[in-house]
Amino acid sequence: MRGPTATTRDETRVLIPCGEHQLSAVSTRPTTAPNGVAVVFLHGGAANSIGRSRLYVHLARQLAGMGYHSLRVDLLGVGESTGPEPSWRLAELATHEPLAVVDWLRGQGLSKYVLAGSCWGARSALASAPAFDGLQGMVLFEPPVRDIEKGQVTASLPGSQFVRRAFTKRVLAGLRDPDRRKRYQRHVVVKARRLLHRSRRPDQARADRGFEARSFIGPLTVLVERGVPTLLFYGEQDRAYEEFTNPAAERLTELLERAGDLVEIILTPGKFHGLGQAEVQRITTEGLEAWLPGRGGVGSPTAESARQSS
Amino acid sequence: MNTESTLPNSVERVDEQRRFREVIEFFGEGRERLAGCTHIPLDPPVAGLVVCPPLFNEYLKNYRREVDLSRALAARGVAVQRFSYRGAGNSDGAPEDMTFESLCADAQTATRRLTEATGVARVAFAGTRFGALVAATVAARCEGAAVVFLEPVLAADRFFAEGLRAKNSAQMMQPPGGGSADGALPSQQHFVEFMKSTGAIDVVGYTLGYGLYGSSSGRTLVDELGSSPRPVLVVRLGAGGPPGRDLENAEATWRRDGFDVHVESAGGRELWWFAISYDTRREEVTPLPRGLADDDPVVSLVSAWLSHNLTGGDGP
Repeated sequence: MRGPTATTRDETRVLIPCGEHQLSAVSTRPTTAPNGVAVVFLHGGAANSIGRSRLYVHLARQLAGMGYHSLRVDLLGVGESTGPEPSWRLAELATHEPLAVVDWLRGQGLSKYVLAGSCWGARSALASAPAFDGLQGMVLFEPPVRDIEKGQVTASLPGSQFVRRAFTKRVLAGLRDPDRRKRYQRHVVVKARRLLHRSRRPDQARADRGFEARSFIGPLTVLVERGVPTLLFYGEQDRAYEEFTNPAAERLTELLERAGDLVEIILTPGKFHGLGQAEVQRITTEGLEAWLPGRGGVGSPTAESARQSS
Repeated sequence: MNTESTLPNSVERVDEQRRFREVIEFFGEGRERLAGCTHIPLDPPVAGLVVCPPLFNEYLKNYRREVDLSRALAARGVAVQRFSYRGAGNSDGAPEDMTFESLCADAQTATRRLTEATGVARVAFAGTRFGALVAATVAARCEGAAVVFLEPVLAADRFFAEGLRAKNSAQMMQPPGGGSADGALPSQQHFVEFMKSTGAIDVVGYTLGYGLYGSSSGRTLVDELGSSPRPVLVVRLGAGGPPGRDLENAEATWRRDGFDVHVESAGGRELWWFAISYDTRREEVTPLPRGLADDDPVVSLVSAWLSHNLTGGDGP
């Protein structure tokens, strides 16, 4: 039976040791019979454990009524946590935090959990996930797909797409503007450097076929092989969704075909990024509530049985 | 773990090096409680400060700045109370139930929490953006209380107009069919009528209730603060340039009424209503908020000024 939506009376503020620092988090208890599964929320850049539009607060309190514990976490250097501010670079993901959180959950008697992360937090959760035994599911809110550094969005496009973009009307018109011209020159320089770097590592370049997404596809492959159900949210207009559906992402396409029902995608209208529409939040809540049951809770198939059945 | 908590109601962290502790908790006597944090110097505090946060996306954007500022002030002997309004952050309540009066009542609850927890006799108020209007209203009830306004909203109506413009801008980014049938963008009056009839409206993902809109309409920072003289610090966080005419008028009014007013600029680059700032030169999304170092201009300005006005120390 569904319990009431949780309030602060069902919540506790906690501090979780993480190396020499402490993570601040809010723990929400179920308001009905507990199903033994905790949902961990890891935010992305420009947010904290509250989430844009209070998304994590809302989700945590709703899920409590379905028997889920949850923990919404401030990453190091964010919210009330201590430590330095994250770089928000894909090359420097928050991999210490999920480990610390999972340790803390185990200490509370919760050995089954679902990791949910948004954008950079999603990539951090994904990078950490293969190390966890009790993982019952992954929820990735608009995870970036390609391995790109800040300032290299254009330069990291596959060669043919880079050239196509260079000859669009907008870019050609922009050549008249000195600032834009300077920017385009920088893209070309970065692209040339990347090509040079790749020419020195031909095996890797061949495997990627110009679409570098190993740190996304790698852990996702492990999850698929382990039979961990994964739910992805994207907006039709998100840059990350454009990456996700990029024709050059052959390895990703193959992986998704192999995964079958294990990987589900919920597509929202407009942009998911930034949660700038109430409609997106509604779809997210309903999608998660419909997907979660059966992800390791009491009386539902565990990842182990899912693995056996596959 | 079961539905009964075995965890304590609040959690405390002690920073021995910087000589303060912070208590993170839910508090308040009513049905709906507030989330908050009290930053308490390890030595007896010289004074207290209640921080009234901004609203909607600006609340999230400014969150870490308030944490850093509070920690820096606690390390300098000032006890600080931060809190989230009901309907915002980790507090209870729904955003559509917010009113200007409920925001002020929450600031009062936070003030009581600060004095109970620390015993401070002198309390100052700080507010960022819309929080400045709340800070001004609550400060006006405390004779001579010092106030700090960070990039304040000078008129509630203008704040909502900016929000509705942001809503229209976001609407333009949506796929065709997202706007009205003729492609025209709705007017502010249209939004207000819609809000009146439905009770709330979605502004770039946040719920703006008619209760808050209606109860804030017509309020200005000058009117809310009243004419009883007090020390005022205004910190501008924008990209520089001369202060706007509204701020100049507010400053002139306060000076005429005998206020001790300082207007300072701390630089920075903010797109307040939006989640992220787009730095086109770097072709990347720059996430906010940025953490504040102890030598950040905002921390330095506010702590030096408060030190002067609350403890008689050296001011700016």
